[in-house]
Amino acid sequence: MNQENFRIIARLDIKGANLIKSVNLEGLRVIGDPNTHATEYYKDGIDEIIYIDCVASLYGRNQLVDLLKKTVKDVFVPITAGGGIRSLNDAKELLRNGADKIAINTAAVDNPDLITKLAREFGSQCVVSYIEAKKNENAGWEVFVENGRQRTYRDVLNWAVECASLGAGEILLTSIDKEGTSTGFDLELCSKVSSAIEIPVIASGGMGRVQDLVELKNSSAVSGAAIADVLHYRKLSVEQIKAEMVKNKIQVRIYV
Amino acid sequence: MFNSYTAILDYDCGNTESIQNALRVVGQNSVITSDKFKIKNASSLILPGVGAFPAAMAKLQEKDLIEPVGRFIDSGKPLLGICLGMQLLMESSSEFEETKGLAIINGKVVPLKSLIDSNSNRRVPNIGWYKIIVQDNSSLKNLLSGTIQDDYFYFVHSFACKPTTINETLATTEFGDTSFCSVYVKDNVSGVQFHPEKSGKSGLKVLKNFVDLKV
Repeated sequence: MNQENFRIIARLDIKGANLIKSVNLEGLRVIGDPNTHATEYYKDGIDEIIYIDCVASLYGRNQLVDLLKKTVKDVFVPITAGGGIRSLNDAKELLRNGADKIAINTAAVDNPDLITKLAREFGSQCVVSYIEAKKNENAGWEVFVENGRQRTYRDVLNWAVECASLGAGEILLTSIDKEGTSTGFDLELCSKVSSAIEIPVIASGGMGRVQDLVELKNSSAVSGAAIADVLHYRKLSVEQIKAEMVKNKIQVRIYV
Repeated sequence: MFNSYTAILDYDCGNTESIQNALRVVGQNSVITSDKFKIKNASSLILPGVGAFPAAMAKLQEKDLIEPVGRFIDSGKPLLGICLGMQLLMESSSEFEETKGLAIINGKVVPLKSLIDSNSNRRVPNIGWYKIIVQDNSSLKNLLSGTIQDDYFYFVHSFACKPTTINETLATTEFGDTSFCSVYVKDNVSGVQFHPEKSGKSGLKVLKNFVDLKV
């Protein structure tokens, strides 16, 4: 039976014109020029790029258009853009300028109907529901928005199921607890969400070493992982990650 | 105006800029257009497509583009449908509601879910990088010349084309315990389910082949 090829995705959090990195979605630090990083990852065999404008929903606008225009000149892999998308027009503008998928979080929680509208207009495969999950005292996870700043009292599992039924084509699942810690993914969260829904789930938050990816893949049905720190700080290259994955018998695309 | 250019059909349903960028890299002039004359005078035409089938057909109608596309096909010059663009050239699709397509290729567009059994290990939408298996039964292989077994292409789709004429399927892609048509060709009309403009060097190679196709 033909298996899924596990996707290795670079996640670049953007503030203004800079690639930034945070810990637990707080304490932003400037790393460098996002386009330079994206181009390097492309040449190195990355499967996809995700740009998240970290302050967009705070200011009600998204500043990714200029960056997208630049990146798509040299980078020929899919790009997902997210942050501050509140309407069909916001989405259209990003798609027109080179985004292949759009990720929505805050606006979807405020107005779940937007997911359906976006899917009808652009197709489900284009709509990524971006979920920020934080562990709660009841051994479950709560949905957060505004980059982990605001709680919603929604249960992550229920919300993921709802997003899928509303028409989202993919879930980008970030563990706020693990984000930026390099201590491994929230395996339980990834396992529960990926078995609760049929659409692909991309895990984000916690990658420190390749073994974390291997454990993630072997303990859950996620379709890929979004990686930030280890790539941005050049602790590992895409090539190294994939070679190590293959050694662990995990099917990935090998770049030729 | 360029002497020779590819027209990329502009109907608000495609990542036209990305296709233009990819064509630039393979040395091909292109215009993103919905102008009948620019379409007619192009040396080749790309029908892009991101989105849902009914919305895309409605846009083609609204912009009065169905006839110019048909005329272009009649001229014998090469046309390439990408992803949804490939699907639009079929007779119909059942995405959301049964909708008629451009009916250049015989057959329907069907949900990927209908192709696999319920305990399949594959998720829908099918998103990611997969190989293609070139079929031997087609004589029109130029689109895929130089494509090797190790080339991966980027797919993102929930539906797939089911051409009824067997030898129009130029390549298939495995999906769980089955496979779907990932490339078709019928005379001067071809379609790819993957996104060549998003498939790294492998995809650029296919686009280069396409712009080099002879009338």
